[in-house]
Amino acid sequence: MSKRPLRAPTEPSDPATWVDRHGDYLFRYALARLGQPELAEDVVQEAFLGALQSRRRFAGASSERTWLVGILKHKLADHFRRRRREEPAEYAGADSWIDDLFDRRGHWRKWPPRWTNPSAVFENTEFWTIFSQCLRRLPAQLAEAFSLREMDDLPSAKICKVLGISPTNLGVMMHRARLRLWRCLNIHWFSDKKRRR
Amino acid sequence: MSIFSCKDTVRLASESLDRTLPWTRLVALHFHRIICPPCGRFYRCLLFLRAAVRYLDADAVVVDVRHTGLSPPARDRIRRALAQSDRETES
Repeated sequence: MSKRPLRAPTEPSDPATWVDRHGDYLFRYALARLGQPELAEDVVQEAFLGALQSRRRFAGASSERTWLVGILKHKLADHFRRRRREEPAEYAGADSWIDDLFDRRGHWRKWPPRWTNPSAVFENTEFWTIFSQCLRRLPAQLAEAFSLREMDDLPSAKICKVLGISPTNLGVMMHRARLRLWRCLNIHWFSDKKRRR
Repeated sequence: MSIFSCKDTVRLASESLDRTLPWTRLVALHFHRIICPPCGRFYRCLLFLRAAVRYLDADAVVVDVRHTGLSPPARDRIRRALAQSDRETES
């Protein structure tokens, strides 16, 4: 059965109905990024209150849910920015294991494990539990750069501006973030032979 | 023979996902991937990661079966906060 997007209304519906219509969806969205249910609930509340304030600016160009998810994303970005400021920049020298993947001539010491096709695991809740845990284990700075690039699809130049870093620096951060995720999934998901079918 | 080692290729493969590489590097990257199975495999892992992040972002995927929606107390609390804030805005 094909799902058609709901026709976008020109103004948001009665805020009293938002919690029932969108609350669970926004909560799951926030939980995947934050990991803590109580924190996810707080951010969802902030997003709803923010939406109430900016209700007049809802242009109706997108669906109400897309509009609310956009506001939630801003609240999540604020949260991660605060977290980055509180966290010392400890990750800088902590990735020497990446060099150890290769021998002196720059060849793989050990072949990287074979991964399944995405379609084989994307319907599996257990996979997403592991994947979101791996995402949350990224140091705040790496996580912020990674999510701006991969989730918000911002061009690299814009991310450098937002974070105040050089293109080279961003390249290093993205590389480290990807390799950390890769390692985390290798250990916690793909090392189990049953899951690699 | 490729001018890049596997270590260089891995870094370059990640870079290629974020910016357009000069064509000489791109060709060297593709060439290395073809002749080097482990690097080909690693590149597919990078594409898997990108697909996973986009999938996660496109929908509210359940990551914890014990928490698939707002808890009843949170639902009530948010409803009350919305109603109160709405009243304050009106007045």
